[in-house]
Amino acid sequence: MDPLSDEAATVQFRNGYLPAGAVLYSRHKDAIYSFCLRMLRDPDAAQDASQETFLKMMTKVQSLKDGVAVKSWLFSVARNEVLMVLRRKKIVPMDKFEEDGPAVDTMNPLTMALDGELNDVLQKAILTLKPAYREAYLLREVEGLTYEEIALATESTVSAVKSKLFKSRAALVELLTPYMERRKL
Amino acid sequence: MNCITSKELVNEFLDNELSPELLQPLFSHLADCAACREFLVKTKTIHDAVASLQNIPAPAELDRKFAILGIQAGTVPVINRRIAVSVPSAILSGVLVFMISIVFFLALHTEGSQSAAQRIDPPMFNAQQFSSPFLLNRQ
Repeated sequence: MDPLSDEAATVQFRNGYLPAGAVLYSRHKDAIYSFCLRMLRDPDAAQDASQETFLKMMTKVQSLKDGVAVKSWLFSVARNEVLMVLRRKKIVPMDKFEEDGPAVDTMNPLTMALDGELNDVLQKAILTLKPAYREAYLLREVEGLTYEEIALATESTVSAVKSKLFKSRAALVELLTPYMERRKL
Repeated sequence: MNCITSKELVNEFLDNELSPELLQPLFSHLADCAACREFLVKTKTIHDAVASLQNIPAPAELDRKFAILGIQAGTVPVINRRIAVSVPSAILSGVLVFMISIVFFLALHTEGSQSAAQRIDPPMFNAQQFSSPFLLNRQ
């Protein structure tokens, strides 16, 4: 068997071949769901956002421009769905999903609860980042997107992405230093 | 190079996005600056730990909602590109076969109608026959 690349599967799916869509869905569903869950902190909302993302993949794949990686396109769609949920829940006002002040949300109760196993602590620490920083950080560190792909997915610029990553990492280092020193990491 | 620039470059270094010409200035600064070295070590520790975080599996309910794609929960579809045929191609082939069938059907039907027409073409009752000299002569 010769598994299809994302590019080939996208072309076939755009031509209406549903099994190619199934390949894309299966390949990216966990990453999209994880991204939505880590952004929204709510499994039901994350499932809804993932569902909307893949529905858009089915209905709007024709609008995907040549040369755009389907993975970054899916993250861009998922990001918009996440943004809509955050706005609906009034977690993020319409005009505030940009770099604004410190990267960490100091009002977040998770900031004070950074203890336990490393993975749990990391997950909590990431959740304390403000959404605009968290999305860039997750797309880079967990999903491995390039700066250009992140800029495309977040409708931003490469320099803004670099800045967000820098501030996110600096904030996490500051946040996790006590834990790392306690654990001698 | 100051510490802020150095820390920004540390980020690009960790992401393998640092231009080669900036490596030397960065390492020179790191050799002299304990704070930036510490930032590099801590950032690298977190970077490696976060990179090892696994994706969270999507719930099976999501698979059920995409059953239209032929998704079955817990399975990963694999396509052999040599046998992949697009739906439009299949539809087009079907339409062509249908149209050819229609053409054949119409051709046969027309031929059959013409035969039947030829069979009944000599009218059973033709008014002109009554006025023809032949008929008049016979009478």
